[in-house]
Amino acid sequence: MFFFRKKRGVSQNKQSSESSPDLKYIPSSKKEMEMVIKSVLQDDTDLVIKSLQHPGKELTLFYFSTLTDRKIIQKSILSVLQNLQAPSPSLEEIEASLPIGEVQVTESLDQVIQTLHNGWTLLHIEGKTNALLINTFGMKERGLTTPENESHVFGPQVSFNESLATNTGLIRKYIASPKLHNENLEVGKITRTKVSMLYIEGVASEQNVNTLRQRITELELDQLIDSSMLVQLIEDNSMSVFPQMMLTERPDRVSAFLLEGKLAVLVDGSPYAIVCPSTFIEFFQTSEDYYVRWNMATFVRMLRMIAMFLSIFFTPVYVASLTFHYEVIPSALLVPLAQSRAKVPFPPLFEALLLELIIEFLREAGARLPTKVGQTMGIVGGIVIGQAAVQAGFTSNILIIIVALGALSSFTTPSYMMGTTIRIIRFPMILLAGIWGGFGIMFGFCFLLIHLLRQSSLGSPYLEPFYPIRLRDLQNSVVRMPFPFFSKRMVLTRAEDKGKFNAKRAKQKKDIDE
Amino acid sequence: MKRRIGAAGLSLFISATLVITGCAQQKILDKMGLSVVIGYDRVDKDRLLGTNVLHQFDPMASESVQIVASTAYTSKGTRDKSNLEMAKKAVSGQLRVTLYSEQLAKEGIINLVDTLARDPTIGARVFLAISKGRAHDILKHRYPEFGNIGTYMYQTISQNIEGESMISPTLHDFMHDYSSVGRDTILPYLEQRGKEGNELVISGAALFQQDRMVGVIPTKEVFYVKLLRDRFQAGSIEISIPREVLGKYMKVSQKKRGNDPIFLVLDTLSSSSTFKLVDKNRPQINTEIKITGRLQEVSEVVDLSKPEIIHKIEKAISQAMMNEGNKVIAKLQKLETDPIGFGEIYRSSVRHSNLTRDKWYEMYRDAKLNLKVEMTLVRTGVIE
Repeated sequence: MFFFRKKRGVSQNKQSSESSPDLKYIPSSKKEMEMVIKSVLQDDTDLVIKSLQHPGKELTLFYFSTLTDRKIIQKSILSVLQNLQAPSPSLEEIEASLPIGEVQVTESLDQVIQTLHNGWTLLHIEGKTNALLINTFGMKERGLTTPENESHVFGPQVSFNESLATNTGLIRKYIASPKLHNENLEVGKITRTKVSMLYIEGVASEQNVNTLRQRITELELDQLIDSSMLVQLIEDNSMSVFPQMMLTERPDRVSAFLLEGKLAVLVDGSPYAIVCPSTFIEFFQTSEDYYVRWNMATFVRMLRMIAMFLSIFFTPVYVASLTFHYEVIPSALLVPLAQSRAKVPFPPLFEALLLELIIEFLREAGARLPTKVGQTMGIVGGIVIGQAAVQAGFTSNILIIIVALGALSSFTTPSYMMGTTIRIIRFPMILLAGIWGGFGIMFGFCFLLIHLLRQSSLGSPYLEPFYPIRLRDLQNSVVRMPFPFFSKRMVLTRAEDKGKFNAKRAKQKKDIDE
Repeated sequence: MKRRIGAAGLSLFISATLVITGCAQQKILDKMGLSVVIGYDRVDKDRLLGTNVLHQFDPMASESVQIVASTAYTSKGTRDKSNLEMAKKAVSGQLRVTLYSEQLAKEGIINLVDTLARDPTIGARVFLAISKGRAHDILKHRYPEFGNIGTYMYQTISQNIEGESMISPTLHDFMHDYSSVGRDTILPYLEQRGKEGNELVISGAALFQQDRMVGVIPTKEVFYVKLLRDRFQAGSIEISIPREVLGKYMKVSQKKRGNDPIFLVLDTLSSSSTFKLVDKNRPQINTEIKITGRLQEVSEVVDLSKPEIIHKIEKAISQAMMNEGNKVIAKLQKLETDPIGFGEIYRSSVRHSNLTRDKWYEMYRDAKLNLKVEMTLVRTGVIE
C-alpha cells in the first residue's frame, strides 16, 4: 500500500452525531416521538408505527417490518398489550407481562435508532421519557449446510452461515465453557456491522487479545460487508500475496484453534471466521488431519507439501531446462521431449505462459459460470483445448501434462486463499525461469523465502515452527504426531495456560482386567 | 520511509530485469543440434576428422540421427566447421560417448580429452572408447538393426559396465588415471563385425600408457584386470578347468570324450582383494583375492550335491584363475602399462618414494607380482 496507509490508533475522528443535543432523549409525547423518528429515518416505507388505545395511556410501537418477526409482534406484544387489565400500567408492569426475554428500558434516542435497525421494536408510552426496547428480530437465514470450500470426507459436516448469532452458537456448542469469551465490537461508521471477537480466557494470550481488539476498534472505516474484507484490513502486511490470517467456514476448526489459544473473529453477515495468529504451514492443514489416524494425516500433509512445490516449480523447471539447461535433461527423456517440442513455433517461455493462461481462463470461467454449465465447460474445454493445442502444434504434449499437474496440485491446498496465492506466484517464477533459467528460479525461491521470513501474523512469526525452530510445534506441522504428543498448547500462541493435559497420565491405559 | 525504499527497490528490480535479461545466453532445446557421439580420426599429419552424431528430432525426417563430419586442426575446430552444414547449432551438452580411432589413440589423446574435461556443459560421466579402424566408418555406417547409433553405442557401453564385464571408462576415470602416478587408463575397444559390418561389438579393452594406447586385450582378460583393479559385486564369467580334476567322479562314457576341458559359468561374483608390498627395492607385490560366486552352469553332468566335488571344483577354479591372472599381469608388464594400479600400491606403501612415472615403469617391468585366488562357491542353484 504505497498510497493508502492504514491508520492505527493515531486519530479518532469526532463522532458525528446526527441528532442535535435537544433530541438526545426520548420525548414524552407520542406526536413528538413520531416526528423525531420520522425525521431521522426520513420516510422509510418499511417502518411501521402502530398505536394502541389503552385506557389511560396511549401505547405506540415502532419497528421495521422487514427486520422483525411478525408472529412475535402479534402474539407476544400486541395481544399481551390488548389484554392488559391494569388501567395505567407502568413500564415495569408491561415489561413483566411481555413473554419475551430480551427487553431493555432506555432513554437514549441514539440507542433506539440503532436497535430499531437491528430488528428490535420500540414501545413508547405516552407521557414517559423512557421507553421499552424489545428484541423482535426475525430474519430468514440460510440453513446450516455442509462446508463447500473446506469439504471433508470425515468429521463434522456443518459450516457457518450468515447469521452472527447462529455462528456464535455453533462455537458455543463445541466449547461449553464459561471461559469462552465473546466480545462484541462494531465496525463501519455507516454499516455498524457487529463483529464478535472470541477467545478462551486464561488460554489466549492477553497481549494478543489486546492487539486484535485495538486493530479492530481503531479501524477507520465506513463499511464492512464481509470478514474477508476485515481480514485484509487487520493483517500484519496487507501488501503481501500470502494470507496471514486464516479464514475458515468450519465451526469445529475454529473451536479447535480457540482451544490452542488462538483468537477468532466473527462478522455478522459473513460465513467465514477469521482465526489468528496463523502460520504458513497451517494453510496446508485441515481439521480432517485430526479426525483420521496420525499416520494417514502425516502422509496427506506431506503429499500437500510436495504438491505445493510441484505447483510452484514444475513449469518453471521445464522452461528453464528447455531454454538454458538442455544438459540436465536425462537421455531417456530427451527424445520424447524434443520430438514433442519439434512442431512448436514458440520459445518455451511463451509456450508455458500460454498454457498456464489457458488453464487460468478455464478455472476462472468455471468459477464464474453457473454450476451446471461450469462443470461441462471445465472438462470439455480442458480436453478440447488441450488436444487441439497439441495437434495444431501450439504446445507440446509434455507441457500439457506438466501444466495440468501443476494446476491439479495447486488445488490440493486446503485453503482457497493460499491456493490462489500459489497459482499467482507461479507466473513470476515462470518469467524468471524464462529470463534467467535455473538461476532465476533460485532467485525467485530466495526472494519468496526471505519474504516469508519477514512476515508475521498478529506479531507471531509466520514461518514458525521452521524459523524460528519450535520443536513442539514441529510435531504438528508437516507431520501430525499422535495425540499424546499434544499435551501442551502451541508455542506460537504464547498461551497463558500452556498445558492441556498430563502427558504421563494420558499414556497409561487402564483396562478393567488389570 | 521504509515503504519508499521498497518502491525504489522494486523499480530498480524491474529495470534491472529488463536490462540484464540479455545477459543470460539462451540455449533453447529445439534450436540446438545435440551431439550424442563424437568420433575423431587422424586424417594426415596434423589434421583431425571429427564425426558428429546428432539427435534428429524432426518427425518428418526418415533417420533418427544426423551425421556430420569435417576436418580441422582441433576438435572444436571440427565442430565449428560442421556447423556450416547444419540447420541447428552443434552443442555437446548431451554428449554421451567420444570415440577415438586406434591410430589416433596410439599418438596420445590428452589434448582431445582435456578440452572435454574443461567444458562445463560436458558431464564427467561421458564415456571414452577406442575404435578398431576409423571411428568415422563405425559412426557413418547404417546399421539396419538399430536406429540411433549414438544412443545404441552409449547403452552398449553402459550396460556392460553395469553388468561388470567392462571397466568404467568415464571422462572422470580417465582424468583421474591420467593424473595419478602408478595407474593407467583402460578403455573399451569397439569394432564392427558381421556381414557388411552390421554389428557393433565391444571386442576388448585398449591399454594405455598415460594417454597413449599401447595394446589391446580381449574381453576374457578384461575380467582379470577388473578383478584386480576394482571389486566385483555381481559379475559373471565363463571359465574352464581340466577334465582330470573331476575324473574320479565321472561315468565311463563321460571319460571317453577325451581331454577337453570342462566349462563352468559363475555368476553373482563378488570379490575382495588385498595387496601387500613385500619388497620395495625390487618391487614384489603379493595379491590375494577372495571370490565368492554361484555355479550357474557346468558343461558336464556332475553331482553337485557332494561337498567334496564342490571343494574340488573350487580348488580347480582358483588354480585356473590364478594361472590366467598371472598371465594377464605378465602381459601388462610386457606392454609397460599398469591399469591395475600396482604403482599406486607401491606409492602408498613406501614413504617418501617420490615416485615418478618413468621410475615406476622401469621398476614395473621386472617387478614380481604374485596373484593368489581363493574361490568359494556359495550356491549351486535350486534343486527341486
